[in-house]
Amino acid sequence: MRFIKAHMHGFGKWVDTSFTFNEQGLTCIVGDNESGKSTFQTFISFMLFGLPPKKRAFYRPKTSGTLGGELVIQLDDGEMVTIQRFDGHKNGAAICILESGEEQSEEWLQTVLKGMTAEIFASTFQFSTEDLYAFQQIEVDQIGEVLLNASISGASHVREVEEELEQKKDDLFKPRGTRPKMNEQLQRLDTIQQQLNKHAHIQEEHQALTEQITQKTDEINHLQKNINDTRKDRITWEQVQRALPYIQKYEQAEKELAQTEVISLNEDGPHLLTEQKRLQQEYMSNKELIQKNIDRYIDEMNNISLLDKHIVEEGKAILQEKEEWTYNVRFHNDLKRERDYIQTEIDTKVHPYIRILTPETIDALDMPPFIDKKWKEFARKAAQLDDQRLDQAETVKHKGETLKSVEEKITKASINILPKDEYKDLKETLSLDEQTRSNEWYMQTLAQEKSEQKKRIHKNYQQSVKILLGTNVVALLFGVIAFLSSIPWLYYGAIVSAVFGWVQWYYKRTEYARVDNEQQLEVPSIDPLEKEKIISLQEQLDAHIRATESVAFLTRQKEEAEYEYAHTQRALKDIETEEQQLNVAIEHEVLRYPFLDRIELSDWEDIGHLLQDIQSLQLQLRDVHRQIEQNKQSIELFEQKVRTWWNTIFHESNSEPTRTLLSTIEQSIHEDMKARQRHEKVYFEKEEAIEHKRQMNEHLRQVEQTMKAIFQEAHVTSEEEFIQQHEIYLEQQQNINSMNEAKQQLIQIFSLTTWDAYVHQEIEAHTVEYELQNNHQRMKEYEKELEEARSKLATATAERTHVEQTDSLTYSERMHMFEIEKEKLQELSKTWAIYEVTSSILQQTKQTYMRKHLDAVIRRATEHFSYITNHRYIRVHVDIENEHIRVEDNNHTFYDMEELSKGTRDQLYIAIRIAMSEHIQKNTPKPYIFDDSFVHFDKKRTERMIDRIIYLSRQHQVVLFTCKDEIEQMVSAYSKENDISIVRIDESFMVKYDET
Amino acid sequence: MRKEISFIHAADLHIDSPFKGLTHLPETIKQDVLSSTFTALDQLVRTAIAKKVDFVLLVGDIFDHNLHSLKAQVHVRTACEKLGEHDIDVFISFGNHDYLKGSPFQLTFSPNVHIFQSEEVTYFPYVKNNETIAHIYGFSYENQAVTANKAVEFNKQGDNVPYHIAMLHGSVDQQTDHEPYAPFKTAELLQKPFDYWALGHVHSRTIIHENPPIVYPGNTQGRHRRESGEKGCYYVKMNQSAANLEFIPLHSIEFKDIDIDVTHVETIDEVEHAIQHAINPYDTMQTPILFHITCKNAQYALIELEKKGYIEELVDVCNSSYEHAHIWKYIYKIRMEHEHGQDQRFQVEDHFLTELEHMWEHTQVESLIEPLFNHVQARTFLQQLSNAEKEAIKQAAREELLYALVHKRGI
Repeated sequence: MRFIKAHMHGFGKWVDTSFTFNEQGLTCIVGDNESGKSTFQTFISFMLFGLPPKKRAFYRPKTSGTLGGELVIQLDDGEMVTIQRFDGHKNGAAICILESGEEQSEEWLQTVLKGMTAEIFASTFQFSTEDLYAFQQIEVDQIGEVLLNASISGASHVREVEEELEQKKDDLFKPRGTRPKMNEQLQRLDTIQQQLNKHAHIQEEHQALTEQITQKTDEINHLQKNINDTRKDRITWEQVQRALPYIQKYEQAEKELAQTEVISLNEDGPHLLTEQKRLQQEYMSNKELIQKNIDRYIDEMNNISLLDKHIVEEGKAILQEKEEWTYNVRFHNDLKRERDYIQTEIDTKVHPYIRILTPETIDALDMPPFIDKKWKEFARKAAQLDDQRLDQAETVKHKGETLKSVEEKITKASINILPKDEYKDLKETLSLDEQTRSNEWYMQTLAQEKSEQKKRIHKNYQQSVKILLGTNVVALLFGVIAFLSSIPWLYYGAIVSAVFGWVQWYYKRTEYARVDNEQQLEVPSIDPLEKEKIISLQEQLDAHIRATESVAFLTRQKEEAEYEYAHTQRALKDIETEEQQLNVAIEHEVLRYPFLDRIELSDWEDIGHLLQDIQSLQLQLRDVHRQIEQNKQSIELFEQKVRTWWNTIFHESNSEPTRTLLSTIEQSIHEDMKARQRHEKVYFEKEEAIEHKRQMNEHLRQVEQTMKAIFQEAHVTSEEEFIQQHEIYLEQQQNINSMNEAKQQLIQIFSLTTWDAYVHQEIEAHTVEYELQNNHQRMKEYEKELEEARSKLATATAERTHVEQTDSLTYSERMHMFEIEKEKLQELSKTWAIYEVTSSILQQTKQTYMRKHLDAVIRRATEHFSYITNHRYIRVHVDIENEHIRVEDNNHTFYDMEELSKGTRDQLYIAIRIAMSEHIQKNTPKPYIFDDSFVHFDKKRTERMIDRIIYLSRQHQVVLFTCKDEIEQMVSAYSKENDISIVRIDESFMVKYDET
Repeated sequence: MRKEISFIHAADLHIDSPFKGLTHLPETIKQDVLSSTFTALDQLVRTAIAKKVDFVLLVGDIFDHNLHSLKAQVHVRTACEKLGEHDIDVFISFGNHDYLKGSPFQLTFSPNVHIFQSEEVTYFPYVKNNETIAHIYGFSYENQAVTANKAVEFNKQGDNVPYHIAMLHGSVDQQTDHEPYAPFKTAELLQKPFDYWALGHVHSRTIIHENPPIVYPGNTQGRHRRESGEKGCYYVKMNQSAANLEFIPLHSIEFKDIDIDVTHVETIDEVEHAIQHAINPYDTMQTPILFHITCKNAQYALIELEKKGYIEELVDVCNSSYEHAHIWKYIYKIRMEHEHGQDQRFQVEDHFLTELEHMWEHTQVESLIEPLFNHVQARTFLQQLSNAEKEAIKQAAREELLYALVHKRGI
């Protein structure tokens, strides 16, 4: 970076002042004290880095104008940038204007300056008297500090950071502390762990309880088994106790049974014998009772009287016919009523015609089946023919009149017809007149065409005259040109055009002349007839034609009328003939049925119907008469039958009505039937009793056989022997039963398989008693032990449950708390680790940094110091271990800092500073600013110093502020070989610059 | 024709084991969190009863022995008893956290519980209606570590038994997140004629193979941010032709990692808005959620806010509005992540800083933190730091120093 130009709008005492720097080399600014040199330096700093508001307020111009200005700098890449700052603009923020006119902000400027601050800039590139005063004693760490100060952070800030980190670390953890956070956390964890350790006994307790529970459970199981065994034992002995009487009973019966031979006997023998005897008595008494009954039945049968079987059958047949007879009597009466009714009907129908017809005559008439229809047809036909005849007569009369009227019309139309000759003349006259008119019209048209043709030809002729003139002019022109130019073909042209002109004119003219000479056409003229006469003649002709046509038409009509008239007359005759034939047929019918003569033809049909009805009724009457006769016969036959049966039974005749006789017969038959039923019943009862008696005899025989078999089976012959044998058998059976009973009891007590284990063992009652007492004692002991074991198990289980439920919860909570606190500690430890690492690294970096740069700086400082002191001193030594600086003179004598004069110390300081600046700004060169740094230098060394500055200015931009004229002179001495500009700041400076 | 069987396969219940990264939870939430592993087991029992399964398989790490939690063991025992009341058998194999010899308590389980009592692979027959339907194979860790390949020791017994199910608590070859105990290869399992491989040990749910199923059900309740998402068990139905697997969530609290891009966020209001915006989509979730939020690309302004403790305050404010709901939400951690490369302020050219950067390359964190980690009292409670953690500390220290040296000076 280089300073190019500065312009102060207002800054301290500087108002609207511009200043141009020497771009290369040295700019020496000379001015008295208070002349504004320091203010100018502050202005540069202000432009580059800005100023806090308070400082800005200090530099606000007293007279007028706003605080601010601009500084033009050139960046390392050659880019020119104008930095502007004004108090009133964004709180003194920079506006950077690039060569392109682009504006950039404060941030951009900071980026360009690469982290450089006002402090670093001052400590590195500005050399002032104040620094020298403040820097009386140079120590190694101070140089280090300075080097560090030259870094981005600055020594003091690094120290601040270090202290802050130490503090943070200490707040967190101290190996022997108690207050820091982590130490507290450790204590907390210790406490929780101790509490948790206390809980460790729970585990042991739980284990012990579990073991105890297992042990007690085993014990209980063992005791339970013993108790069960003892209980089983007791049950067995109790069973034996109960079984003892049965065992004895069994053994006793077995002993008795062994004494006699065992008899095998039908167990039911005695019972069967008794039963057979009982049956024998019962059958005997039954037999006697049945015999008595049989005798009684025979008596009763003998006392019943019955009718002869044949007579009863006849009586039953008569009674069966009784129904039919009753019906016949009723039907006979009905027939009689019907006969009377028909007779009355016939009489009623005949009555109106009684004078001409009687029933007898009617009965005798031969009437074919459809005579009524035939008679009806006669009447209809007669009426129809009569109507046809009348119609036809009317038609004949009408046709005659029509014919007459047509004949009259023909006569009327014939009047207008002309005679033949007259008609021919009239027609010729009219034809001639029409031809004359047609010729006249043709001639007129022809004349008109001619006139139009003439006009056209005349026009053509006029045109040909014009062409003739044109061609002649052309021919003349060709001729003149040919004559003048002597071109032979132009003559031919002239001739051709002239000839063409004349030829066409001649042709057109001839045509014109021909037309013009043609004569006008004459139109022939005949004298036409007068118009009225022709009309009249035409009318006469038309009337003749119409009349002729009309007569022809009417003549045809007349012929048709004549034909129709003849036809109708024929039809009338035919009808009359038919009527005559019908009358012949009617007369023939009257001859056959004379009564018709006295009856109108129209009533014939009705009379026909009547006659047929009466004949039908007479037929019915004859049939009824026949039925009455038949019925009467059958009634009489039945009544005869009844009286005959009566006589046979009662042997006497009776005159009582048939109906009374019939009821007596009915009663007799009924009584006989009842007597027969009784007789039959008694008979069956008697037969049954006889069968019963036979059965009784059979039973008695069986009983005797059975009794015989019983005795045989028991190997006895009598009843007494049988009873004795049976008593022995019963005794044996009783013993067997006793054994079985005892066995059943023992099976119930023990079991089917083990009951006999205790028989024949000779067990005594007192043995059983003893065993039971013993068992009872053992049981009591076991139960007591079990009770105790159970109680202990319950206690242990309860305790373990308690442990599981209560302590485990507390433990779980503590455990989680412990884990959380541990994790907190872990987190804190990480934070501490970060601070520890940060702090260590910072310290290490600081040392490395200083060590690394110090050597290089001291070497360069030696060069500068040796030169400035004119090689009086030849080396600067740094004892890093003791943080001590010494210098060596050309006699190789070593001097501590305190042993040097103030001036030499300043020179050493400047030498080191320059060396540091050079070292630091290797990559980013910046202007050096020297401000009256040589106060304590003697003249010689001041010259050497100026020489060094000039030497520096060959590579760097250097600005030298001084208030001493001799320095100005010294600088001027170098101005020939070096790029130097000198500016004097005095009263006239501002005016001078204003002018420029 | 094989009869259908159904069972529940769960593993790594880690009942009553501690949660990581939740040091500052409010009391109510803390209680919910601490009881969540128990709740998961209760939920499992409810599911088994509701689905009327034949049996339940618990494949290791049911509790952590080194925590000595009797509460956990008693809870498991009670759960098994409840299953027993519904005629549901329980087959238990112990893993590296609940190994046989480490058990501080001797608990007596109900008769429906079948525990593999040795490191030798054995089997229990599962009998239903007097008919052996399945053989359940397995083993338990006797000591904390089993390094042998146990898969090769599984051999099918009894050809007439319809189903053969193997329980194996161990690491599949490619797994690197968990201790490589009882390691095996998928191919080795496929060589064996088992109908179902019920695995345990790996906490993330994985179906390694479909037919036959080789399944890690994962753990039943997430306990830190790396165990995020749904957690539970598998409800398995098997018949002649196929196995049907249904995942049943059992977790009562979910861990959720959220990244928020805060490149353009500068003020505390904007941070709050960004957090709300990120969390609001979870309003409809049916389980409480613990959020771990990472703010990506945090700018200087945010780091400043974080250093001043404003972000922490903001999170407290946010939490106070979420934590009282029935289905609560809680941000247990918020972290600012930033890239130095993107911030020009860190690109200052400076010899000291260059030296500093150079210094980091040779820094050994371990020796620097010795005073604390070798401290007599502290080392009993502190866990030695992993390399990643040391690296993180180094990185944090670097940022801290840069912040202190460069930013705090207000350059």
